[in-house]
Amino acid sequence: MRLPLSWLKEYVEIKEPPQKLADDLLFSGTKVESIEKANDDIVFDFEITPNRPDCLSVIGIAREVAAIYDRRLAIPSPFSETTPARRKKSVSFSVTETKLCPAYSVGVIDSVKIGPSPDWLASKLEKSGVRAIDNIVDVTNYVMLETGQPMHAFDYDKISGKMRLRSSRKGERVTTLDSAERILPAGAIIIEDDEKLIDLAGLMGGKNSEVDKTTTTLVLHVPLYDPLSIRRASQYLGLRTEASNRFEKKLDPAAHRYAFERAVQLISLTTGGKLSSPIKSVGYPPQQRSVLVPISLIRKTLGISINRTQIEDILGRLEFATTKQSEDKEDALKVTIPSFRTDINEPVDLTEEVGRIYGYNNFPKTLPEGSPSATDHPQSNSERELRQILSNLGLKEIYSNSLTSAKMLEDLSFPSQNMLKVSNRLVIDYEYLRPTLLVGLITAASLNLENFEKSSLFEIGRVFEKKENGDPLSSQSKKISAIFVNYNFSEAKGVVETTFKDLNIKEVKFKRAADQAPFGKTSATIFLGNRLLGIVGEIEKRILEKFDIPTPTYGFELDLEVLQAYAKAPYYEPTPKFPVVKENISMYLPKTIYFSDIANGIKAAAGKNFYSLELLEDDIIKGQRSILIDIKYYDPNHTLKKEEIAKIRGQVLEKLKKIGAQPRTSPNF
Amino acid sequence: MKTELEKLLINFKKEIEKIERLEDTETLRVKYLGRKSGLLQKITAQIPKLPTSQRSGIGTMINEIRAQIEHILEEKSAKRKVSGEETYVDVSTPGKKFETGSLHPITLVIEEIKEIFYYLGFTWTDGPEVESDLYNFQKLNMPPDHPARDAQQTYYIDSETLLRTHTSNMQVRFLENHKPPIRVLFPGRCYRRDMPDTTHLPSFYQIEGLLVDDRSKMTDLLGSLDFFAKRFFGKKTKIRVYGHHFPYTEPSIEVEVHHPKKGWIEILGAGMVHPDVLRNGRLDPGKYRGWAFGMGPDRLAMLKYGINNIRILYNNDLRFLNQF
Repeated sequence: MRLPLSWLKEYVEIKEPPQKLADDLLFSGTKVESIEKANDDIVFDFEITPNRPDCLSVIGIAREVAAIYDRRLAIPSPFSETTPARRKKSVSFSVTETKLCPAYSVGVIDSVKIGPSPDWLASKLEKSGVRAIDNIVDVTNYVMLETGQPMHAFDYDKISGKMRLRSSRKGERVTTLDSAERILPAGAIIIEDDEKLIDLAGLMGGKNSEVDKTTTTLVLHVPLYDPLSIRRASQYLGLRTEASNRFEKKLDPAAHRYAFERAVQLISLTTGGKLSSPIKSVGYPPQQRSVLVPISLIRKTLGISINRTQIEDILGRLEFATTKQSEDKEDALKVTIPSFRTDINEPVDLTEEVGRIYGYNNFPKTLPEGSPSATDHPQSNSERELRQILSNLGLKEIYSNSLTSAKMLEDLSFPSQNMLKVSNRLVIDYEYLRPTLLVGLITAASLNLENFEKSSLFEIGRVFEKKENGDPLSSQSKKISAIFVNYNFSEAKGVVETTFKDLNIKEVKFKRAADQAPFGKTSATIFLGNRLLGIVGEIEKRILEKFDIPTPTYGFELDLEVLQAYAKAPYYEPTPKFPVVKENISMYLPKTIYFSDIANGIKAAAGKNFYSLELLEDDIIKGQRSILIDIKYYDPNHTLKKEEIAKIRGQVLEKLKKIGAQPRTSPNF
Repeated sequence: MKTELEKLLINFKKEIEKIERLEDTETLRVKYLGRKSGLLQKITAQIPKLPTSQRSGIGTMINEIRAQIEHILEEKSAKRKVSGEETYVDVSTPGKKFETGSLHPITLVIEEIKEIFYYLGFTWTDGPEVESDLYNFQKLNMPPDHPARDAQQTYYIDSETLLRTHTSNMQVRFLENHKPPIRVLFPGRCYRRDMPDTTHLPSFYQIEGLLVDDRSKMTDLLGSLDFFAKRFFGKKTKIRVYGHHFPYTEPSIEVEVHHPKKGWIEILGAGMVHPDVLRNGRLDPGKYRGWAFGMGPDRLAMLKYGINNIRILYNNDLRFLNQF
C-alpha cells in the first residue's frame, strides 16, 4: 500500500527522518517495502499482513506511529449534521441474509455537481497510486484510503424501486464499471433493484447504476461484508480490487458510520452535495469486546521483566482500555478491545502487542533451560553416513527439481498417465512428481558432458507414485540413486557393494533383472532376503540417445528406508590366528553358469575352512569365458596341514566340475 | 660354544661394514646363514655333541643371533636401494590430481544448521512432501479461503491433498505423537506455485525448528537464533528482529542478519507457538509453551557462498559442484 508521508503527517506529528520512521515501523510489525521521492513528497510502500486490515489506511498507520512514539493521534472529526437539511429523499435498502452484510450505513445525497476533484485531493490519490476520475469516485477512494473502509456511490436516478442485497445464483450476469460482463458463481454478494442487478458488491459497481457527468443525486452505501463470500467471488472471477482486498479481511465493524459521515463531509466540500435523507445505520454500534489477560502470562511468554504500569501504558497507546479486574485477582487485567482491532481475540494476541511495542530488539537474549529430549532420530544420521560413503567413492551429490514434465517422463519410458501430478500446474516443465531420481541425474549427466567426459553423480530424495486407492500420503518413498557416465557395470556394482559393506549389510543378492526401463539388459535387482532393495545396471541406449549421452552409462536406485532398516553398527570379527592358505584357480565357464553359482559352490565345498574369494580375471579366451579366482582357506583352530589343504581343494574342484565349470589346473593338483 | 657365537656376531658386523656393492650382502648372507654350509649352521650342528648341562639356552642364543644378522642385512640392502636412486624431480611440477567426491552446498548448510542446533539439544526428523490440506494449513490456523494462504501459492494434487508449502506441516504431526520437552528440527523439501526466477523455484528446501516445554520464553527464541547466526555467519554477526504475522505463531517475528556487503537481509520467520496449534497437537496450552522458526537452506547457502541465482543450486553443473 502506497502512502505519501505528507498525508500521514496530517494525523500525527512526525519528526523522524523517513528511514528512521520506516525502521521503527518495521520493528513494531509494519513493514515498509520501499521509500520513494515523489516531487516534493516522500511515498512509503507498506506491506500489510492480512491480520491487520486496519493498517490498510492512513489513519491506521498514523495510529501505529502515535503508539510507537507515544504521540497524539488527530483524526478528522466526522460530519456534524446527520439529519437532512432540506428536501426529503429516501431509499429502501434491505439485506436478505444478515450474514452477507451484517452492518452498513446508507443514505441519499443530492445537489451534486460532478466535475474534477480539487488539486489537493487528486494529488494525494495519485501519490497513493490511485487514478483521479471525478469528484465523487475520488472522494469514495479518498475515504477508503484514509479510513480503510471501502464504499460505493450509485446514481439515485438509475435505480428503479427498492434495493436488495442478496447472494448470487450461479450463472447470473452483471456488467461491471469496466464494461466487462461477468458470469457469477453462486454465493457472490450482489445488489439488485426491482428490475436488474446493479452492483457486484465488494468487488466492483454495476455499469447500469454508475455515477456519470449528469448525475445529481447519489445513494451512498458503506457496508461491512462477509469476508469469505467476497474472497471466494474474487478468486472465482479473478477480479481483485482495492475494495475487495479490504472487504475480504475482517474490517472494523464500526467504521462504516464514520466513513459515511466523512464522505458526506468531503462530497459537500468538493461537489456541493447535501445529505437529503436520514443516515440509516444497521448493526451499529457493534458490541464491545474485552479480553481478560493474566499479567504473569505476558511476562512468562515474553521472558522480560515488565510491570503492570508499563503494560497498561503500551496497551493504552494502542487505544486498548485496561481495568484491574478486582483486588483479589491482582494478576488479571481486563482489556477492552477497540473495534478496529478485529485481530485481537485472546491473551497471547495482547502479549504480542506488548512485545512489539516494547521492542523485540530491547529483549535480553537467553538460551533454553532444562534438558533436551533424549531420543535421537537415527534416520537422518544414516543419510549423512550414506552421503559420506558415496562422496568417499568419488561421487558428487546433486539436488534436482522433483517436479518434471510429461515429455521428460516419456523420454525415460515412464507412461505419464500413470504418474502423480499437480492439478494446477503453472509451467509445463513442473507438472509431474518424479517417479525416479534418475530424472534429475540423467539431466545433470547430460548437461555436464560438454565439460566432463566422465562423471558419477548421486542424489537422495523422495520419489512419487500414483495410488488410486488408499492413503495418498503413503506413496512417497525416499531413494538414493546414482548415475555413472562412461563407466562400466563392475564399477557401478562395486559402488553399491562398497556401500553395503560400509553399512555392514550382508547377505545381499543380485538377480538378473527383467526389462525395467530405463534400465537395460545388463541390470540386476537387489534383494535383502525377500525384500527388494533396488536395482543396478545399464541405462538403455535408446534412452541415452534422447539425452545425447554417447558413452556407456550405468545407474542404481536403492530404497533408503530398507537400507536404514538393515544397516548395522560395525562389530569386531577376530582376524585369523592361524595362517591363511591362498591359491588361484582358473577355469572355463559355459554361458549357462553364473559367477554366483561358482562362488556359492566354493563356499559350500570349503565349509568352515572358507575365508575369502576374489575374482582376479574375467576374459573371453577362444570364444569361451575364462575366469581366474583367488581363494583363501583357513582354520579357526589350527594351522592347516598339507593333507587337509589337499582335501579341501579336492572338494572345491569336485564341486566346480559338478556345477559345470572346467577348472584348468596343473596335474599335481 | 657361547663365546664362539659371540665372536661370530662380531666378525659379521666387521665384515658388513666393509661391503660396498649390493651383491656382496647376499654373499655374506650365504656365508653366515646358508642352510648347508653357513657358519651359524655349522655351530648349530655341534649342539648334539655338547654335554646336556651346556645345551640349555644355546638354541635361544642362536635364534637371537640369526635374527640380529637378518635385521642388519635387511637394513643394509634397503639403505643401498634408496641411495641408489638419484633421479631429478622438478618440484614445481603440479602433484597428481586426485578426483574426490563432493556434497552439495544445500547438504552442507543443512548439516551445519543441524550441528548448531544439536548443541542446543535439538534432534531431527523428516516428513511427507505430499501432504494433506489439514496439516499444511487447517491445523495451523489457516482454514480454507484464509487470506494468509495468499502468501503461500499452493500446488494441489486434489482438493484435500497438496504439496507442502512449508516444513511447518510437521509441527502438529510431531506434537500429536511426542511428549514435551520437545526440541526437534524438520528439514525438507517444500513447494510453491511461483514463476521460476533468480530467487524462486517451484521446489526448494526449508528447515523448521520446534521447541515445546513448560518454561520456554521469547527471549530463549531470540537467544537461540542469535546463537545460530553467530555460529553460522561468524561470531561478530548481528541480528535484528521485527514484528510480523503468521497464523500459527503469536507473537510472530522475522529476523534479519547484517551482511557485510548486502546490509540487513531477512533470513527467517519465527514466533511463539500459537495456543491453537498446541491444542491441535493434543497439548494443553495452559501447561505448555513453545517456539518455532523456519528458514531456507537454499537462501542461506546463497548468502554464505555468494551465489546470486537459485537456479545455480539446482542445475548441478560439475564446475559448480566441484567447488564444494
